[in-house]
Amino acid sequence: MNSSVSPVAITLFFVVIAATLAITYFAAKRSHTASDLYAAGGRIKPWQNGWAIAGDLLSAATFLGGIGMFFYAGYDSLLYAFPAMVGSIIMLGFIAGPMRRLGKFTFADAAAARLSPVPIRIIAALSALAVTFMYLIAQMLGAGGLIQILFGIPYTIAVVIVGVLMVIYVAFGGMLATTWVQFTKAILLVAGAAVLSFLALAETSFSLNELYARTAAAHEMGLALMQPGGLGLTTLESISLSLAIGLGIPGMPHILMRFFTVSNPVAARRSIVISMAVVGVTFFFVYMVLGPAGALFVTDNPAAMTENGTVQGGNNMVALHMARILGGEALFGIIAAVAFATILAVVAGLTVAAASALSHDLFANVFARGKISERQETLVFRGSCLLVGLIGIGLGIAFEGQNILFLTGLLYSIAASACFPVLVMSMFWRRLTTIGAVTGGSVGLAMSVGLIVIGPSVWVQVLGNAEPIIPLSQPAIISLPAAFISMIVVSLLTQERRS
Amino acid sequence: MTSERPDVQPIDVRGTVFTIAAFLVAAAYQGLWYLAPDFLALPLWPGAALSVALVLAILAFAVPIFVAWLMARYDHHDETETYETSGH
Repeated sequence: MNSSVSPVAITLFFVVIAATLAITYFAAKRSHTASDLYAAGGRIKPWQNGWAIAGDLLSAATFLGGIGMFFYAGYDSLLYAFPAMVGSIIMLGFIAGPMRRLGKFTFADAAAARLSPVPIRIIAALSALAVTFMYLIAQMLGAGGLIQILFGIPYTIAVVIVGVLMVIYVAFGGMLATTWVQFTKAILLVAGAAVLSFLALAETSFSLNELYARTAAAHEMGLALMQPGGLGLTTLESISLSLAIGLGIPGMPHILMRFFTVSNPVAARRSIVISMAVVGVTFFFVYMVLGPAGALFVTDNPAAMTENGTVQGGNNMVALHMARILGGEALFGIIAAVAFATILAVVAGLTVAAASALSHDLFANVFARGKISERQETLVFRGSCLLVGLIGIGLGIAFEGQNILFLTGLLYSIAASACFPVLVMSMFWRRLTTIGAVTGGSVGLAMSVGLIVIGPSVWVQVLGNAEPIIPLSQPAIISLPAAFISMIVVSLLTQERRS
Repeated sequence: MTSERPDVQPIDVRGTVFTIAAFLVAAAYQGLWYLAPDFLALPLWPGAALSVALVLAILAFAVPIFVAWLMARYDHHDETETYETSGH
């Protein structure tokens, strides 16, 4: 990317910040109670919530990372997309209605409804924190890279800027501000992807066939770019990744919290259908049009590539290079602003989820055993937001340089192995015991995190070792069954303690 | 852990059938990636750059939306519904 700073991009960058702060100001005036902060008082409409859920699913990892991954892995990048649609179906069929019926603030409320609440809340909160912080890393990486390119300021300072903004949004505006920001950003993202797709197709006579043919001619992988195999995953890793995303989405704490922002279970289910329509259309733009278009217009373009043949700013910036190539500085500025808004909205949602786990689950219901006033809980929530922001900034700096979509795959493994089993078994399996749920959740969390640490993504790429202890980059295929099996076995062995 | 706690949620049989069907179709689609890559690479017409893989990818995005609509189209909110009694 050119080192010159785009005036349009800078202007729109500040417009995004000003608009989101204005949203936060108005939301803050309506957010006084714990219910307001955690769940927007249950006043969100299904269609608004649907767009907001879509916004949660369409993160920077999808937009920037998806187009960037298609650039080098082609069709295999869909492995990060279509399981999300199956995961949404699972949420619709099993999770959304029952979750809303419990009518509380966090997914731990649902998990703890039938069981002894304190141990369940502890394991659920720890799982939620692990997932949200992993996701925060991915978002911080995208934000740091984007602001670095836009302003030429150091990555570290860029991450700090995002961290400060997300704390302000959530601490003052709570879930209402988060939802409005997410809703607005989702509309902007879909519109931006549609405009970029239109311009890309206009360059190829509005013919997908011509787009694909020209991409194959330009890219070193040729037509293989549009076929499976680009990621080089083994069959086992591929299945594991799909399981992680498909069963991880119904276990994502920041998405599950959205079911509490609507008035009833039917509204929660309708939200899912709307979100799936929005996400499906956006996936088509990102993976079927913009992915190949990025490979066509960015490959060998001196304005976008370095002298040694890599993309300036990294593969995650392919979408921005393409915007500048197709629409000049104006479109570059718009798409950059949309991407930035995407990051801010998602980190705000993650901050709500993490802060809620700390303040509602751990402090109010475990430490204080429910003996806490509403005013105290709102204060603890706001303090938790600050803590989450500081930790998020630290992790964002520590993990600089990782591919953000790959990190997303890892966090889905944790969500699928640690959160999903506890939630679904506690709602649907009568013989589940507290100790069984805690065991299963602990096994899922420990195994998913442990296998990630000793696997290629951390043991080799982060810690610098030559070989991984376990050569499996996606652990869900081991950790997910382990969580379910341990939960079932321990529950069956402790039936006398159920009554 | 006491009898005063709510019972398990009722299983939505229709939703379960649709969910399992969607899961199996997705598994079959992904299975083709490894079992029949040549089939995915087939051009849609002679000389075309577009392949069967593109059509299946579009279906992978579109079919779940249709299934979700089927699952939720008869939903109606019952004001008397509670955690214990509801069954959508």
